[in-house]
Amino acid sequence: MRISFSTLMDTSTRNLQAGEQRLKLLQDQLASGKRIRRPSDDPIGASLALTLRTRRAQLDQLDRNLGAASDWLKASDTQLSEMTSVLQRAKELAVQGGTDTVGSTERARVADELEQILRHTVQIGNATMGGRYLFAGAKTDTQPFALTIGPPTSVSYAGDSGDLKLHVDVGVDLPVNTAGSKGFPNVYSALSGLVDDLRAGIAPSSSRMAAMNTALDDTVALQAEVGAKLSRLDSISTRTDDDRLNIASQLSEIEDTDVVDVTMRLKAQENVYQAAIAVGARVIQPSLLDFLKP
Amino acid sequence: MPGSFGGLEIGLRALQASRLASELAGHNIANANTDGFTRQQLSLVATPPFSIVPFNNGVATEIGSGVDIAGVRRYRDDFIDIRFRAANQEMGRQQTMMDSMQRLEAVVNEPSDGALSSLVDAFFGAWHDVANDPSSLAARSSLTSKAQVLTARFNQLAQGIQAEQANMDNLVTRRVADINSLATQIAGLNQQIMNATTSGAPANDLTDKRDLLLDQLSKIVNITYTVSATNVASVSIGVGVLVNGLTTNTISSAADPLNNNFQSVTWTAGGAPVAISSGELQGAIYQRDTALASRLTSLNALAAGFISSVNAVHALGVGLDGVTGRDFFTGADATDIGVNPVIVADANRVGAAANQATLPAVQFTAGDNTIALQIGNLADSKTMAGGTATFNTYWNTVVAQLGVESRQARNLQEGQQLVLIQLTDERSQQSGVSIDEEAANLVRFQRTYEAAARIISVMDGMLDKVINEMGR
Repeated sequence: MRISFSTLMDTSTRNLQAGEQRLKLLQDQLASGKRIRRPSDDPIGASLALTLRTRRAQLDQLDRNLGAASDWLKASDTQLSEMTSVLQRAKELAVQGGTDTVGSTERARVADELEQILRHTVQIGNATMGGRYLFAGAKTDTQPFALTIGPPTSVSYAGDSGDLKLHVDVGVDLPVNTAGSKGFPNVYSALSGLVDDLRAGIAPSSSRMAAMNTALDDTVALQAEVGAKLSRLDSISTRTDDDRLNIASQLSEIEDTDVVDVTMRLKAQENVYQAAIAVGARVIQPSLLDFLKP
Repeated sequence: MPGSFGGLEIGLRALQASRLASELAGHNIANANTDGFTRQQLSLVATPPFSIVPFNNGVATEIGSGVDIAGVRRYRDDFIDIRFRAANQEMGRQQTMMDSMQRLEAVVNEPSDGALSSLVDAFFGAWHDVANDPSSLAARSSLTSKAQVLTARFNQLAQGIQAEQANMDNLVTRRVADINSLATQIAGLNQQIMNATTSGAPANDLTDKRDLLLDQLSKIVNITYTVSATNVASVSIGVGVLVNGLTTNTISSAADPLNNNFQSVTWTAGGAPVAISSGELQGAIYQRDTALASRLTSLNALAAGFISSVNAVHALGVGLDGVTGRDFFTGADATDIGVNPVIVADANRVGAAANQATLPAVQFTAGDNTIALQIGNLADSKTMAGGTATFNTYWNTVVAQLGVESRQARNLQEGQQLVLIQLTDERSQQSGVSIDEEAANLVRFQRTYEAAARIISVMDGMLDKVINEMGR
């Protein structure tokens, strides 16, 4: 086969260029740390990477939503817990004020303390978190409870029974609030009734005591509901944390350069390139003219 | 040979032949690096013999009379040329497509943190942040600014694709001009070759030049050509004739209002469309009208889906200022999507709460987050591709297909390049100059020249004997 001068030169040049191209590719991967710089580098990998990235973003957002939900529920829990212990004291006082041996001054004193407790529970009902009222339903900008000392003593409710739902899991929009229309009215009417009766010198009747018990039960029930939601959020959170770790490692496997592998290949390619240069130099130099007598 | 001076004539012919052969070897060496050069060799032939009748024997014998130059042989295989040009036009097409696809991938820039899919995720996440606290102006402002980043990216992507289309369109215009220029040059060379051949000289170097032009032309567009017995080339594109011996028919490009005012290529005389099926020209047209156009259509569909889905829900939402029925997005597709400037001006106007009364009455509670939650959850709802894909999966499919097509273009181009290299080597084997070979030839003809000079000296010596010393 006849080899012309240009074939020799072209082949040399081409091989060197191919070597340089391979070097450049490896250098790019190493420097950027990314195995996939454009979709055509690995179309299936790129598609998978996009899916994982979206999932990762969604999990990050779910995490934030979980945090917000958790904050709200914990704040509600704290307030309801205080309400429960305060109502326990109120129940003791009611019993105390209900015995026949109690005199009018004694009754007045009990009425005073019960009134303080009533004011306290109204304060609890008007608790806020971050500028929003916890127990106003959806009307988080409006103070829900207003106390009027009578007789007749009453507490009015200016909120609504709306839900505040937060997106805490895929397909799950969880209502995180406790509306002031549930349970609270029973508490206030029981306490208001007791205060009015005692001020009027009437001993608390059995129906008043029953109402007091109901109020206490309602508060405990509300607290239990909040507790259940908190523990549900906990298990969701554990699972999403695991998911995020999995996704992070999957994404890294697809997108990131395997540094050790690429470094080895870079070294190997450098050697090949140097050999190609040496060969090129040897091949293009001699020709017959070097050997002919001038 | 009859006549006393015949021997000198033989020597003279030998001298001339050797000298010309050396010059030709020199010509080859000088042009070893010239593009498109075909090596040439002297074709030598023995001159017709003389017949003489020797004294004793009555039978005529033929005596040779030296060497003559039959012509200059050009080592060119036309069949390799045909195959080379076919591969070249395919290469032109693949190269154009590959380069354009890679530029498109750079515009799309997925997967990466600032790319469209990340911004879509961030947008829906921002709606959930508002749902978590609808009274927070910070969350609302964050939403409007993330929405603006998203719409800006849509605009950028659309512009990027359109810019690449314009780039391809520009390439079409330039290549049409190149074709016309090359055609004129080929016709000019046809004229020169004709002049040279009629005066008897072989037009080898002119033919080389014309072959080089044909190579260049083949890369740009699909040509077929024939070379007549008188070495005049005719070139056609499809059924239309581009070069007809000494005359050319030009092609022209003009804006086509039926195709976004992109250039369409027609024959200047008659206006028939040019049948372009390969070469850089076809690659550019395909990219412009099909590959890039379909990506723009998909992007616009995505943006339009965004606009209609989000606006449909948002219109039911009430801003903190008590106004309902607002659009969140303005515009119709990716080129003009934007965030409603009224909402940008005051993020409190974002309609996060639901309207609890029937229109035209408006009633809402400030802490209500129903609409914000619903829009945030649009990320998971299958509104695209006839109800089978979410926004993200739709775009994911577009990106994956782009990756596959670009990869394929790259593979085809690399394959085609190997074919072209193979053919270049084949051509070079046939037509390329080998320095070693020419050097050996130089030695050969130098020695022959020396020997020819010797012949003349010897003849001269013999004549000298006859003329000057005989019969004195």
